[in-house]
Amino acid sequence: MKILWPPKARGALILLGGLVCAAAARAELQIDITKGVTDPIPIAVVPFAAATPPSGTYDFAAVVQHDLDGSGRFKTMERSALRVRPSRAADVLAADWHAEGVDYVLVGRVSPADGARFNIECELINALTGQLLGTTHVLADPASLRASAHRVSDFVYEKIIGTRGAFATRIAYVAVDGTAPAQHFQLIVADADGENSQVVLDSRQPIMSPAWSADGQWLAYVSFENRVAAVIVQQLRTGERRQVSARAGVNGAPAWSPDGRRLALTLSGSNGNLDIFVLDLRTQVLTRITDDPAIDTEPAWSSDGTSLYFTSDRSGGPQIYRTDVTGHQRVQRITFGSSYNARPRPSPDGRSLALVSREGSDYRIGVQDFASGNVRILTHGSLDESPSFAPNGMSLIYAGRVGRAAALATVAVDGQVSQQLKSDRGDVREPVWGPFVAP
Amino acid sequence: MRSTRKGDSRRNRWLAVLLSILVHGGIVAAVGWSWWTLRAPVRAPQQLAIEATVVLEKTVGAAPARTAAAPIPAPTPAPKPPEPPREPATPPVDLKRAAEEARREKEREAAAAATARLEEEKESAERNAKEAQEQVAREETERATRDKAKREKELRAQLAAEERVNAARGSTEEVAWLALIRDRVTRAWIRPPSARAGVNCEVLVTQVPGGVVTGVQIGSCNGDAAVRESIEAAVYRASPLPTPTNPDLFDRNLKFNFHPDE
Repeated sequence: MKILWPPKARGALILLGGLVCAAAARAELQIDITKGVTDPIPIAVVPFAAATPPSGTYDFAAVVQHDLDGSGRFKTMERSALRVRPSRAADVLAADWHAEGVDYVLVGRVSPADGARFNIECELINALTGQLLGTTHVLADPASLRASAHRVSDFVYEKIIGTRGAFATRIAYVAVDGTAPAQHFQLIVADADGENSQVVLDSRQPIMSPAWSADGQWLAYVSFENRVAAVIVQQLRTGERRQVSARAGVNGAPAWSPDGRRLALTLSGSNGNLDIFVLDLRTQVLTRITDDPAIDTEPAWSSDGTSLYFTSDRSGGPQIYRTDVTGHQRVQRITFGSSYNARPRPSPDGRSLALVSREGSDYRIGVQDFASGNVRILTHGSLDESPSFAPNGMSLIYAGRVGRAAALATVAVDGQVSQQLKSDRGDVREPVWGPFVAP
Repeated sequence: MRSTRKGDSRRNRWLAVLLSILVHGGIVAAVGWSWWTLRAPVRAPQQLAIEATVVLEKTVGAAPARTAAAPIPAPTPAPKPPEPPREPATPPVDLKRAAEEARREKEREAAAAATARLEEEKESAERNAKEAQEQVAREETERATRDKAKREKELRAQLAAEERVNAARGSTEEVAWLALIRDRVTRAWIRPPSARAGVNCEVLVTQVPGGVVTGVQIGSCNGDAAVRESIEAAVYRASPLPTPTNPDLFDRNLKFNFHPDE
C-alpha cells in the first residue's frame, strides 16, 4: 500500500531528515586519557559466613584482607567500618557500598565439604556497576587453611588487576641467630607474606644462596656443614638431601635452570679464580661457561633457559653480563649506569632485570628495562640486597636493613609500594621467591 | 527517493480519488446488476402461471364463466340473461388482463423505482465517498500544515541551540570543561599492569545533566579484561563528571579514548 504524503508534509520530512543527519555528523566530544594512577583500589572484604566450629570459623577474610593490603594494589575497608555483612552477592546493595567509597566487595561463605575439609565460596562484586565480577570455590584442607585464603586473594587480584596473584606462593630465606662464634643458621620456607614459616634446615655452620627449582619442590643451597662449601639440593616434602657439588675451593651461588635439569654454579677450582659452570644434575657433566681471570659469579638463567646473566668485575668494578649457554658463549655487558651493578635476576616476562646498584654510598634495588636500558631504583635503603622477582613479576622481595638488623621487604616493580615482612627469626637474608605451584 | 516523486504527487492524488470513485461506482453497479438478474427469473414463472389460467379458460370454455356466472343466469328469464353472463364472461378475462397489465405496470414501476433508488443510492454512495475522500485530504493537509509548523519550530529551536553550541565549540569554556573531565577520569583510572603503551580503547559514555554517568560502553579496544574493567571502573568512579559552566555545551554523549603513553 502506498502512502501518499501531502507534498508539504513531505518537504518537512525531507528537511527534518537532513537536519537529523547534520546533528549526527556533528563532531562528538572526545577526551583522550593517556595517564592513570596506581592508587590502591578500595575494596571491602566482608568476613565470610562461618560453618560449624572449630575450623569452619577460621578467619579466611582476615588473611585475604592482609594479602590485598600488602600487595599495595588494594586498600581494604576497616572491618569495624562495615555496617552490614552480607555473605552472598544477591544481598549486596552495590550503591550503598559505592557511597561508602568502596569500588569492589568480596563476600563469601564457608561450608563443610567431605571429611574435615571445607568449601569456601566467594563472590566479587563491582560496587560501581553492581555487576558480579566473578565467583570462586576453594577447597580448604584443615592443614592448609591459610593457603586456601591466599587462593581467594589470588582470585581477587587476578580479576581486578588482570595478573595472576602470587599470594599462594612461598619464599625461602636464611635466618641467622646469635653472634659468632655461637651463631645459628636456619633455612626457612614461608608463605609469600612471611607468615607460616617452617625451618627446612638448621645448622651451626653458614647456609647461603638458597634457590628454588622451577617446580617448587626442591631447594638448592650452599652449606658449610662439613666446614667447606658444598652445594646441596633438598626436596621439601620428603626432606631428602643430595650433595651435588663439593669440589675444591668455592662451590657457590646455585641457580636452577627453567627446565629443572641443570644447575648453574660458581666454582673456583684449585686456583681460586671464580667462573660460571653448568652442572647437569642427571649426568653430573660439568660445562664451563666463562673463562676469565676476573671474578664471575651470581649466575641467573634467562626465562627461556638459553642464556645466563652474571656479575663480573672484568671491567674493573662489578657489572652485569650475559652469555649464551648453548652457543658460542659470547659475553655481552648489560649494565653501565653505575659503578656497581650486581646480583642480576631477570623478570619472569624477560623484559627487565632486577639488580643491586650503588647510588653514592647506598646500595639499592633497581630494575633495568632491556628495551630502553634505563634503570629505575625502587628502594631507598642504604644496604638493600638480594632482589628476587615474584613469579607474576609484579613485585620483588629483597633484604634491607632496619636499624642494625636485616629485614625482608617487598616492593612493587613500579616502586609505588613497599612492605616489610614480619619476622621473629633474627637477622634474615637472601630471600628468594618461589614459583607458582598448582593448588 | 521521495523528492523525485514530488512532482507527481498532485496528479497522483486526484488520480487516486478518481480511481476510488470508479471503483466504488463499479461495485454499486455490480451489486445493482446482480440484484436485477436475480429478480428476473423469479418473475418469469409468475407470468407463466398467469398464462396457464388463460389457457385453461380457452380450452374448458365456461369453466371460469360457470364459476363466475352460474349463480346468476340459470333461474332468471332468457332474453336478458345472456348479456349479463357474457358481460361477466368477458370481464373476467379483461379483468385478468387488466389486473395483469396493472401488475406488470406496477412491477415495471417498482423496477423503475428500484432502478431509480439504486441510481440514487449509487449517487449518494459516490457522493459520500467523494466527500470522505475530500475530508481525508483536507484533514491530511491540515495536519501536515500543523506538523510542519511544529517541526519547523522545533528545528528552529534546535538550530538555535546548535548555533550557540557551535559558537561555544572549541571555545576556552569548552576546552576548560573537557580538561576538567580528563583530569577527573585520569585521577580515577587505576591502571592495571597490562595498560601499556599500544593499548587503545574507545569508550562511549552517556551522562545526564549534572554529570552523573548512566552508561559506559567499551567500543574497539585491544586491551585485556583487566584493562576494560579498569576503564569502566574509572568512568564510574569519576561520576559525577564536571559540568560545563555554559549549559549549552553539555552533551549527553562523550567519547573517551584511553591510550596510555607509556
